[in-house]
This record gives sequence, structure tokens and C-alpha cells, in this order.
Amino acid sequence: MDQDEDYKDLFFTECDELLGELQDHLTQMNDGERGSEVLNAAFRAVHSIKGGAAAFGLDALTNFTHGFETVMDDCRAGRVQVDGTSLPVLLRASDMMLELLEHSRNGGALRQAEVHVVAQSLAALAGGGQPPAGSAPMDDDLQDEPDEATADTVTVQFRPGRTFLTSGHDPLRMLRSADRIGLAEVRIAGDLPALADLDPLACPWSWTMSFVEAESATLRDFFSIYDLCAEIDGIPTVGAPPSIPMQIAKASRNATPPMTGLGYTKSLRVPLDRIDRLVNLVGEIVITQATVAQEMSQTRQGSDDMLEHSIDALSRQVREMQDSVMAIRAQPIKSVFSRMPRIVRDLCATLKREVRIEVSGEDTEVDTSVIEELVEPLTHMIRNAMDHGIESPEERLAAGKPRDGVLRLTAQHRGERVLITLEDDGRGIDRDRVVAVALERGLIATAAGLSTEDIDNLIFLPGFSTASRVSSVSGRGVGMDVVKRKIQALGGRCLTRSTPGQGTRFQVTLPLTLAVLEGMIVEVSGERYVVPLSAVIEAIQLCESNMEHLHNGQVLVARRGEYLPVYELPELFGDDLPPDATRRNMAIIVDTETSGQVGLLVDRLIGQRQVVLKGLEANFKPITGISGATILGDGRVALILDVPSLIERQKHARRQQPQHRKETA
Amino acid sequence: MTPNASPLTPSDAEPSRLSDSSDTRQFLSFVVNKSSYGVGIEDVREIRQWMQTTTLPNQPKHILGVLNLRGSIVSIQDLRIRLGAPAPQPVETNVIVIVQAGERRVGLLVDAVSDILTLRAEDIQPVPASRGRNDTEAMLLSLAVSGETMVGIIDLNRVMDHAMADPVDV
Repeated sequence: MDQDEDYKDLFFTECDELLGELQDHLTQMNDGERGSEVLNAAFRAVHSIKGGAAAFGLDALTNFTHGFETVMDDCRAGRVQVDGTSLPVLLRASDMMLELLEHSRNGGALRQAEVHVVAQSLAALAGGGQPPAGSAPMDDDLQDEPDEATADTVTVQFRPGRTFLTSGHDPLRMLRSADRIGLAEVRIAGDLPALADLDPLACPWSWTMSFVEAESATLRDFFSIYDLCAEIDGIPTVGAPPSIPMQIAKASRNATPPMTGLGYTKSLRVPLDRIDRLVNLVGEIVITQATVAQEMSQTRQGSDDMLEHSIDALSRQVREMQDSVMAIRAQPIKSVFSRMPRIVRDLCATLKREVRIEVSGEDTEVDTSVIEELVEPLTHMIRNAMDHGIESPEERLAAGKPRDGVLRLTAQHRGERVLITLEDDGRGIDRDRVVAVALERGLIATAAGLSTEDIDNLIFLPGFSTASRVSSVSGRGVGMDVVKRKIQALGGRCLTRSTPGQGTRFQVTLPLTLAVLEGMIVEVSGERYVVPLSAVIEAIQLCESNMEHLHNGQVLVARRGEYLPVYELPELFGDDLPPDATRRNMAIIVDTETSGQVGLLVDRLIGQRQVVLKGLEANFKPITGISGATILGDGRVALILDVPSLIERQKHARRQQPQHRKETA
Repeated sequence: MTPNASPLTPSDAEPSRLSDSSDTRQFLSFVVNKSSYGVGIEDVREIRQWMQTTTLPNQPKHILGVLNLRGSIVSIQDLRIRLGAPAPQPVETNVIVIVQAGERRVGLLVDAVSDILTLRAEDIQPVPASRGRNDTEAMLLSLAVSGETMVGIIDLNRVMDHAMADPVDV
């Protein structure tokens, strides 16, 4: 039984992949690709899922998929045209298949009516095609392959060998079981010898069995039991469709077409925890390697060139090893992006919108840990854009826009980070309303001095929701702040920019991985800290001439005609600044995205290094302003600073306004 | 469990070292502010000399910071402060007792480690509830009598709870 469950899990994982492929192929068809390769591949995906579903007795899924398969089969045979009428149905069907699959996996409610509607439209498609006049010019390669499984009758010769009976087989039981998989006729040959010559252990007969409408795979499974003790001829051989021990409804006239063209790279399924162990181990090696290098440089001042070279080589190789290990965890962001069209289609129906989604950059590779966490915020953002951003078709026409709204979802690498953009061409953010709501809810004290950008980003505040009505989709006031919190938890930032009447753009930047980080190591008051390199803009030397002290104690530094606020780390840490604080004469400029660029006073820059991120929460708790810690070459712990939230925290602490308490809690 | 009268087998060598092996528990005892305290020995992971920690921002006084414990990051609490004494800067003779508190591992800074105590169940009593519970008592699970001295058994769950619920980090 346990094994069954294991197989089932495997089946579901496989289905996820197959469905992903299917969606890809359908999208390709949508883009005008009608080649037989794509059609075959799409058919194959549906077929494989059906096979597995039947094997595990998932009836709802099997029945639905069966109808889908029939249509796909008609499509590749040219009986049904892949065009503007059939494609939407196919897309809906693949969505529905995902839903059924999720239902089979996790239980939960199933929208029976919807399933029925989609199944009906599939059936209508299958019936409405032209008569199969044998003129299917599209797939010649299929025509010339004698499709044995489609032949109505399969005749199998069965000659028991000497060990047939001694192996415990029983001819009667065999024939009865054969009856269940479509046995139509049995002819028997041979006769009992005279009693004197009778060998009771030998079976004197052989049979010729005819099966009607039996799957070749089923037959093969059935007869494989007798493989060792009988001669069996006549079982159709085909590619390797999944084993289907149960009976399947008829009309599946399909041998799996041979795998062609569409690139399959050899791959291996490895449990994630094994890779994680490797990642951790390599992380430790990086640290040890750094320790060795440090010790070396301290104890033998350049006296040994060879050794130095070797250490350099070692460090390069270790670094390369780390990159390779991280590459194992990297996945194309496609696995998240490919779910989005379905969400959009679902929402179109619920919200009465007409929206199409354009996805690009789905091959951008991101660490698995990031990918898993991305689904939820992205879904939320899409919901938000469709509910609040894109107008109803009528409103759009009235505003002189095309009826269909467009959502553009893109991903691209930007240095050590990945940038995800979601753009809509809707009504944009209604700034007056945003300010009014923010004031009304006490989220801001005054609107004075807020730039348009500041206003747009108010929608990320907790408890903010401009939707006057609460819909089931979004508008419960848990929208964008949840997105922001989630993204920040991943070490990312989000920003929004909107043009009234023309649309809104959300930008999310995320680290490529949550396991290692490229950092600038700095020293402040004898303690070393890591500042993520992605946030560091530059380092500047301070002197009297480029510093300005305001009356409230705030220090500013002039940089190319611009004044940036400068912070003392001990202050941000909530410690008292010792009165005899050393005058630090260096600042690194950090981009906070929320408070613009700021300077952070440091004593010394130590260098730039890739560090292995370790969470504080494993043995302690998360701390605002610290995104984690790492272990330096000498074995000491260095904290990784999250400068933006340190500054935010201090701002809130200074203002001491009770309604702001929640935000950083 | 039935008392083991037969010759020692390796598996029960540990408890049987003492005359009556049935209802005893072992504790690691240590000195904090000149008083004796203890934790169940099964919770102790290791004992190490004080070493400079990395301080954390915006933390209460008793959180001394974090240390690298063979690749994992462990927070260190000053038990002297938790047990109500003004504590000077830790020195090298101070000791960190690394304990397992639930799922977390935490280091407790103490003045010195004294002994391993084997106590019978009847030597261990609940903390008397009559007096107003101050911070120190809230930290204690029970009291134990070992010879002439009173040993306060630390409640490790309280140690962690306190750190987690601290309102200092707004």
C-alpha cells in the first residue's frame, strides 16, 4: 500500500510536469504554431496523464482526460481544426485538468458544474469535426506506422511450457481473468494423452485467444505474468505507454507516438534535502578555505609562492564548486509563470474582465527556495491588477482603449538579483483616493510633501484597501501589504509606478538565491558586518568640507551636489553612542529604495566576499534590521545588515506613533 | 521499569553507577550570583569557555549576542542578569552552557560549572508559591536539595519564551 502511495506521489509530480508541458504546447499553438510535433507532444501529455489516472483509479480525472484526449487525437489527425474556436476550449480543458488533479491530490471541493461544462464543450468539438476521410495530410509519419493497438482484434497464441502448472498457474483462472480485459474468443488445441502416458504436471493444451478493444499495454501486463513458463505470441508491441492494469473506456485509438524533436535533456530527480546538505557543506568549505587563506597570510608573509598559488587555485575551485552546486538548485521561473495564465483565465470569468497575459523571460533561472515562495505574492499581484487596475470591457471601450486588457509579466536577471515586472494597461492608481484613504485610516499624518511615487507606494501599507466593495478576489485589505511583507522576507523589494489612465507597473527585485549572498564586509567599532553588495552604491571618504550637521543632530553628506542623510550604526542598533565616539571618516552609500540613498558610517572596508547566509530564527528569532548572519573566516559571526529596515525601524521608534507600531512588529 | 539486579550491561551503566538507579535524575549544577542552579543533564549539549559574542541590535540586556557553534548560530543569554544580578562584563573564567530548549539551542552564561548531581525524585520540590514571584522564581521549574545546598532547577522553556516575547524589539 505504501508503495502505491509512493507511486501516486510520483505520478502527481509527473503530472505537474506534463501539465506544464501541455500548457506550453497550447501556448505555442496559440501563437500560431500548428506543427505535428507540437500537436503530438500535447496529445502525449494528455495521454500519459490519462494512463496514470486510470491506473490509480482516479475516475473523475480519467473520464475528463479521456474526452480531452479524444479531441487532441482528432486535432492531430486533422479532424478538428486548431483555431480560434477550439483553442480556448483546449485551454479551459487544461485548466480544468489541473483542477481535477489538485482535487485528486488534496481532496477539497470540485466545481462539478464547471467540469461538466468544459467536458461538454470538448465533446462538442470532438463530434463536430469533419469526417475522417483518411485525408489527414498533417501527420504522415503516423499513418505509415502500423498502429496495432487500434486494430479491433488482437490474437494471442498461448502455449504453456513444462513449468506452467508447477509454477502454480491455473488455466481456468487465467481465462477468467482474460475475460475481464476483453477476451472475446478462445480456441483450444491439443488433447489429453492416454491415461497411461499422462504426465499430470504437464499441460497438454495450448490456446488461441482473441481480444477485442484491449489496450496493448494491458495485454502485455496481463501476459507478463506467464512470461517465464509459456510461449506467448501476438501481443502488440508499441512504445512504452504507462502500465494500465484496469480497463479503460473504448475509443482510445492511440499508440503513443515516438518521442521526437522536442528537446529532452537527460535529467535526474534528486530529493531537495540531499542538495541542501551539499550546499551547506560547500558553504562550510568556503568558510574553512577562507580561514586557511587568512591563517596563511598571517603566518607566512609571502615567503612561499607555491603555497600561495595553490591556495588561490583552491579558492577559485571552491568558488566554482559553490556556483555549480547553486546551479543545481536553480530552476527556470517558468514553473511559477506557467501557472499565471490559468489564474488570469479564472479571474476573467469571476471578474467579468477580458484580459490576456503576456509572459516573457520565463527561462530566467532562480533558486528553488525563491521559486516556491514566489507563487503566492505573484498571484496576489495579478489579482490586484485585474480587480483594481484593469477596467471592465465597457469602461475600456468608453475610455478609448481596446476591449482586452493586457497584463505583461516579465522576469530578467539584474546583476545578482532577478527583476520581476508586472504591468497592466488599466486605469492606474487613483492618487486622490489613495491619499484620502490613507489619511482616513490614519496611515499617514499628512499628504504634504509626498511625491506621486510615495503616494503610489502607500498601497503597500498594512490595512490599506481602496476597493469600495469587497469582492471574493481582492479587497479585504490584506492585499498588497502581504505581498510586500512576503517579498521582503525573501530579501526583496517591491515598488510600484503608475500613470493615471494608462496603467500600473509593479516591480519586484529578489535575490537569486537565499543560500549565499555577495556581501561587502565592513568594520564598525571593532565589530564586522556584512552589507549586501546589491544595496551598496559606493563608498566615500568624509571630511569637514563634504559634511553638514543639522540642528537636530542629523548629519548629511554631500555627494555630487546632493545631500544624503548619514547614520551611525550603533544608533540604528539602539545603543547609546559613546560620547567619545571615534570620528569615522568613511561612509558607504546604501540604496534603501524606501528612504532613497543613505550613508552608513563605517571605520573600515574589509572587502567583498560571498557569504553563506544563516538564519537567526533557527535558534533564536528574527530581528528587525538583520536579515541573517554568516560565519567569517576566523569563525566569528557577522551580522548581515538590512539597512532599509534598520532605518525604517528607527524612524518609527522616533515618531512613537502608536498606529505605526504594528507595521514593524 | 524494574530495578536491575543483574550484573551491569553497558546500556544501563550510567544510572547504575549509583546505589539506587530507579527514581533518580541527573542535573548539571552551576553557580550564578553565588547561588546554585541546575539544568537537566539530558538538555545540556556542551559546555564551553566564554568567548566574545557578536552583539545583536535592539535586544534586552541579558541577550549577549550570538556565537558560531560548529556552523550554526546560537544566541547567548546572560543568566546572571536573568537571575537578577548586575553582571560585569563576562571574563574568560565564565562558562557557557549550551542547552536544548525545545527546538532551539541556546547558550547560558554562568559564573562557573560545579558538578553533576544525581537527585532522587523526593529531593525535588515545586517552587513555593506563597511568596510574590519575582523574575528569578519565574525562571525556576523546581527546587532541589543536594546535601546542604538548595539548587534551583531552571525552566528552559521560560528561558526561551522570555527572549521570544520580549517587547523591546517593537
